[in-house]
This record gives sequence, structure tokens and C-alpha cells, in this order.
Amino acid sequence: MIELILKRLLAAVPVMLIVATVVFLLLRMAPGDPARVIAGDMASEESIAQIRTDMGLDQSLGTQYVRWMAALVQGDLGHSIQSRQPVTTLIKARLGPTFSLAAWAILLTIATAVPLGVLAAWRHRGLADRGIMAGAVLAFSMPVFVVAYLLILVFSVKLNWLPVQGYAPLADGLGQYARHLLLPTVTLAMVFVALITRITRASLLDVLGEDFVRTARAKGVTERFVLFRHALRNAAIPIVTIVGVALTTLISGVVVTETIFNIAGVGRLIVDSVLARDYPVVQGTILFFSFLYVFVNLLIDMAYVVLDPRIRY
Amino acid sequence: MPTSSASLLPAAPPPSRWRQAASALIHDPVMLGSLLLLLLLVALTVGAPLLAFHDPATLTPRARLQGSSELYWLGTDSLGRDLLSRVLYGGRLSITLAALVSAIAIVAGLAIGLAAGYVRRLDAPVMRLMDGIMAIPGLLLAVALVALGGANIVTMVIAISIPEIPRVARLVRSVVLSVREEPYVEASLGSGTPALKVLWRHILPSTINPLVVQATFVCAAAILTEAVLGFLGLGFPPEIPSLGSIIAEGRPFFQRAPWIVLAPGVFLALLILAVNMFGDALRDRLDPRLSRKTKG
Repeated sequence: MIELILKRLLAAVPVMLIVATVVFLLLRMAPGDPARVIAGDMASEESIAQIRTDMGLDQSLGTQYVRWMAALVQGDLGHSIQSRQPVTTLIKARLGPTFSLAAWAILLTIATAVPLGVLAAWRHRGLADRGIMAGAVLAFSMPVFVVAYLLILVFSVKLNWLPVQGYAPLADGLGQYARHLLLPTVTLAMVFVALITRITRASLLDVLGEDFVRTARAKGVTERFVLFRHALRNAAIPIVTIVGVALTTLISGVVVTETIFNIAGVGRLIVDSVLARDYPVVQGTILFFSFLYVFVNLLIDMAYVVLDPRIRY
Repeated sequence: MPTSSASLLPAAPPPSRWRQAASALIHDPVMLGSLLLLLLLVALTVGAPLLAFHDPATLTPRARLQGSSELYWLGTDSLGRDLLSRVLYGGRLSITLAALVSAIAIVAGLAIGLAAGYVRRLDAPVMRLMDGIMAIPGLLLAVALVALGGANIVTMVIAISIPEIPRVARLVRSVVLSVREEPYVEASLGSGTPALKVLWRHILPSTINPLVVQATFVCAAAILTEAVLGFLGLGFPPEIPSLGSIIAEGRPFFQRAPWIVLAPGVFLALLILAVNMFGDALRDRLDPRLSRKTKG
């Protein structure tokens, strides 16, 4: 088991290297001169040149790449231009709200989408199925900010039940924490619920069509047993796969949600840094999220072994 | 012996793609409905210069923040500009951009996927590269590229296309991998047909169906990404009406004048919904197998 984990970890390293390289290349090769962008519109040629030297942008691409990689391996994501703090510190400070938001959104998604998907599959082609699928397409198509503002309009402005924005850490009390997190979580989860519901339904339908299910039913096993014991377990793999793949969408959603609800998380950090032209922070946070994605997918790969005994690496 | 003479006739040729498409449209209400909605929205936006009664850029500060009225059908925004014309022009921008992005992503993804699928030695490195790009959240990549390259149409199109390319490439590659083993490809190669011709005549046609479906999803994603970029203030300059930036401008006035946020929002949602529904219906029709595995 240990060697399996190590093997998978080792396999992830090249991917992370590639991700880091891709980020480096794409940002370095993008049109536009980072030094000029950082210096701003009013800067003189000398200050631009100075910035260029400071950031090592005047050296060859190869040298820059080596320096970048060396720093990365040591966990150094660079320093913010605005605040001079290390990027890692900035990210760590903002991790709490983002993590809360994302974790609750994922939990909400699983708690809502899986039952909905099961229901839709069970009542295949029935009214419930069509209704749920229609709802899913609708939820999937609504941009995050439209959903957010509709929810805010109803719950904060008209009914005045929930605060319009902001974040209250757990330390401030469970009530406040929950109240502030409720709307953002629902907003973020909506697209996911749609996605996971569809995948659950499709995957379950696939499994329910298989021979062993027919056998189980012929044996006289109750429908509920068939669903939960046999079908759902087998349907789990595609669902888990999609969760991994959809992580990037989750991250994008986090960025928008945090901006709308004014939550001081990592997503907002990216937006603020881009607007402030704080280029190292932008780069560092992108890397952070990408590595997170690779890591989560790694965990999912390993989860496969648990979920499907047929899979051996 | 009574033999049906009809069985001696050669079978009717399969209907052409156009006939298939027409029959699909007529028999599938969802596909027809979403296509009609889409065409309606496109017609509205394309006809924006004719339909919009006011110039979207004219400021009339006296008339700011008004609700729906005879003069301004959707009301005015914070600077007294007609919301209806701004939304229509914004929609025009979204659709144009989405079409461009879709075209680029499909062409690039097709080229990469064909290369990776056909040339064995290219497969592993190219796919690793695609995996690397896919690991970066699309929005963030677009944000970073636009931040560096400036908010002009070229940069925006490139920035939004790049995150979509890997998915298309993977799709094409998997099709190529399976078609490559078919007997007719082997036969063609064996009789000396040059590789490029084989690709063009035998392999490419199999990619068309999944590509068309994927194109619709890329379109929807592009519309959404452009809107989000505009919303975050990272898209086109504020004078150019874009659905996202109109919503962003309406944020501070949300309690007083919610229509500034809601009108473009609803338009955007309808547009994305129409594209998604059409893509779904198309996928169910063109390749029911695909609807289980890939999700756009």
C-alpha cells in the first residue's frame, strides 16, 4: 500500500513540473512587458529598467527558468510588489475563508446532488427525472454572479434574513459564521450540484442496465438494496472522477463568489493582485491552485483503488 | 415461390447529413426550442444597431437610474445610458467573441489532437502538456494573460481560447486513436496513400460529430468567461458595453436599481442556457455514447 502511494506521488511530480513550466512560459511569453505593466503608466524608462533588473527579467529565458524552478523547489513563490511580503504568507493568511467556502460547497453539493441524481435515475423518464434534469441545465447555465445577485436580492434585500456580504470566522461564533457563509456556499454549489446530479444519474443509469442488477432483481432483492448496495457503489467512480476534474471550475467559482460577497480569501487575492498589477502574487496563486488540483486528483486516483478492487497500479 | 420483389432492390442510401439534421430538428422539441431561442438572441444582438433606439454611449445624467419607461424600455444605468441598447451591444460582443474563441479552440485542438493521436511519438509529450494546461484553472489563466497582454480583442480571444484547447485536443485524440485501428485506414495506408490524405479523408470525418458538440460547449464557456472577466473589471474598457461590466457597474446601485444587474444577467443566463441546451440535444442525437463519459 505504501509503495502504491509513493509510486503515485512520484508520478505526480512530472505533472507538477510541467504545470510550473507551463505557468512560467505562458506568463513570460504573453504579449506585453511585465516590467512596464508593473511600473505603471507614468513610470520613466529608468524605473522600468530597474524593475526589469530587480525581477531578473533582463536575463535570458533559460536563466530565468532555472532561477524560477530553484526558488519553487524551496517553496519560495516570490514576493508581493505591493506589500513586500512573501506570497506564501499572503496565501496562508487568506486560506481560512476560501477553505471554508470550498469545503462547505463540496459537502452541500454531495449532499444534494447525489440524492437528486439517484432519484432521477430511479424515476427514469418520469416527471421527477425530467424536472430534475431541466433544473440541472438551468442551474448549470446561470453564471455565478447572476445566481448570487438573485439570492442576495431575495434573501438579503427583500427578506433581510442574511447579511449581504462579508465573512465571519468560526471564532466569531457559529451563528455568524453560518449566516455569512450560507449564500456564498449555495451560490458556489449551484453549478456543481447541476454537474454532479447529471453525472450521478448517467452513471447510475449505466450501472442499472448491467446484468448483475438484473440478476439481483430476479433474485428478489428489494429495489432499495439494489440501488444502494449494488448500483451506487459501482457508479461512484465516474462521480469521483468528475469531482476531480471539476475542481478547476470550483476554483474559478470561488474567485467570483469571493469578489461578489466581499470575502477576504485567496480568490479575492488574485483579483486584487491583478488589478494592482502585483504580478508575482498572481503567478504564485495560480501555481498554488494548480498544484492543489494535481494533488487532489492524486488523492482521487488513490481513492480508485479503494473504490474499485479491479484497479491495480 | 412468392418472394417479395422489394427485397431484390438495393437498399436505399442512408440519408445525407443535412437530412439527418433536419429530421433531428423536427423531432426533438428541446433541440428545436433551444435553437430558436438562440437564433432569436443572436438576431436581437446582430440587429442591435437597428433595434437600439438610443446610442449605448450617450450619457444623460438627468435620466439616471430610472426604471422601465416608454423612452427607455429597460431603464437607465447610473450614468443615464439606455440599458436596453447596452445589453444588446454587450450581447453582440459576447456572441462574436464566443464564435471566434470557439473557432480557434476547435481548429487548434483538432490540429493538436490529430498530431498526438496519429504520430505515436508525439502522443505522450503532447498529452502531458495538455494535462499541464488543464491543471491551471481556466479563469485564472485567462485573467493572468489578459492582465499581461492588455484588454484588447486579440489578447482576450487568445486568453479565453487557450484553456479550452486541451479538452478539444483530448477528444480528437481519443477519436483518432480508435479510428486509427480500423481496417479501412490500414487498407488505405497499405495501398500507399500518403498519411496526410488518410488523415483528411478517413480520420477527420469521424471527428466532426464530437467536435460539433464540443464547439457548442466551448461557446458557452467562452461567453461565461468573457462575462466573468468583464465583471471582475479585467475585461474590455468600461466604455465598451460588455454584459459582465454592465453588471459590475450596477453593483453599487443594486438596492436602488436592481434592473441594472438583473437585465444583463438574465440575458446572459438565457444565452448560455440556449447554447447549453442546444449542445446537449445535439450530443444526444449525434453520439449517445458520448453523453455518458464526457461532459463539456
